[in-house]
Amino acid sequence: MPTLNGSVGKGGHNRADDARLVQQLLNRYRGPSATLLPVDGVVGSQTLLAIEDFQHRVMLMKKPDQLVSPDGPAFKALCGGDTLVFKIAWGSKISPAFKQKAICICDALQVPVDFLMSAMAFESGETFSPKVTNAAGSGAVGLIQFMPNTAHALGSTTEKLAAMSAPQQLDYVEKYFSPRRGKLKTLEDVYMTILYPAAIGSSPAATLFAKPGVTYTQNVGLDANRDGKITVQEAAAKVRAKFQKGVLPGYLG
Amino acid sequence: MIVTVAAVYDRRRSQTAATVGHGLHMVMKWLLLILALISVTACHDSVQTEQPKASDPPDGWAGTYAYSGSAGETAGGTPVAVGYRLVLADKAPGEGTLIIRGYQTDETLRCEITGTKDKIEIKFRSYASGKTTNEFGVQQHQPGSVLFTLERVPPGKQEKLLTNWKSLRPDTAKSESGEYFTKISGA
Repeated sequence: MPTLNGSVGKGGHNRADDARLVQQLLNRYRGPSATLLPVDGVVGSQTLLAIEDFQHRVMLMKKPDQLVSPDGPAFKALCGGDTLVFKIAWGSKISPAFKQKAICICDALQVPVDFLMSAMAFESGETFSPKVTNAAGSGAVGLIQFMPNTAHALGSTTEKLAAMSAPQQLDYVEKYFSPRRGKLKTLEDVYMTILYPAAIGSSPAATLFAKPGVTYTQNVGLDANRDGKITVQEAAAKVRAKFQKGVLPGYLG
Repeated sequence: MIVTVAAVYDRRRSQTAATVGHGLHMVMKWLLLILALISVTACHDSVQTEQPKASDPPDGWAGTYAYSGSAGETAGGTPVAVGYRLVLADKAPGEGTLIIRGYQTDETLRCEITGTKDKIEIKFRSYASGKTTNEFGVQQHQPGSVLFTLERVPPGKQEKLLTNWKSLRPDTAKSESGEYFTKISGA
């Protein structure tokens, strides 16, 4: 169950763990065009405005107080009315064992579980299968599409990874993300860990690949607006779409 | 070396001065000095006559070399592309840096460069951190192991740069050897 130990928001205790939980829950209610909050545990103006927006738009409060308390209505509303079960993005599409392990490793990595689930949903083609590969034969396999060299770097092989159960393979997802523990605060950061780790921490507006360039040509499919530049935000757009889908009823669970 | 030998001798002389005559001391001191001089001359001659070996830092390779490869897409549609950049600085012959960035990769390797003007071996020395294990704590390459070689074939104006992958084999490289790296800057 989601546990809020102290209040978060205007005049709240604002403990980092509590703030991270509230930020993660608030993101589920951000519209597709709104910027997601960085899940950094810091209660600044962005978080306060997001609480206010949630209270106003979702809870229909006439006088939002920008505060989420453990026993208050805002926290219950953020949890979808049920504070007894911690639901996560794409949680209804995976086994209870997988869900529990995903929550545990994300706690350990300080990675928002919804973001990692969305990245895995995208990379595995929504299957969450440890065996899934691309039909064209890139050699990538599983939850985050481990390439053979990545598997080798982790002390394994793609064959061994494909033979694991999904919860077992999560150990290697954790191992892969572990050098970036505590550094992945945004959806873009989580996806950059897979696509291009050197860009972790970059602004969403930063250009990853530009024309002319081999890397641009190789990643041209990510240039949604075809302006000859691929920004971090643009590259992560498809993962953002999986996030929006993953928190919908029928997927959140 | 002469100073060291002389100093040792001087200390021994003070300990034995009471029992040994002065003339004998002088003879021993001269003998030691002559022996030391012969030893130094021999070392000097051996340095002068040493022939260049294949492991000496090669000339004419300074510059930056790049290879960028693609392996298609993941199941979700992420492009799998990785870039390799080898920097051989003029100021540090025998040393190089290999930067690998792209899909699931962000590594900088310190390398030792050996070979000739026509062919070099890029050997693993350590990661940028100085460790020989990667960021996951796994030893992928042994220090001194050849990551790949670069060869000018045929040497001359129309030469091509042939890469032979050894302990490093990119997922994007379809064959063990071929034209992968190209020189993008440098002398």
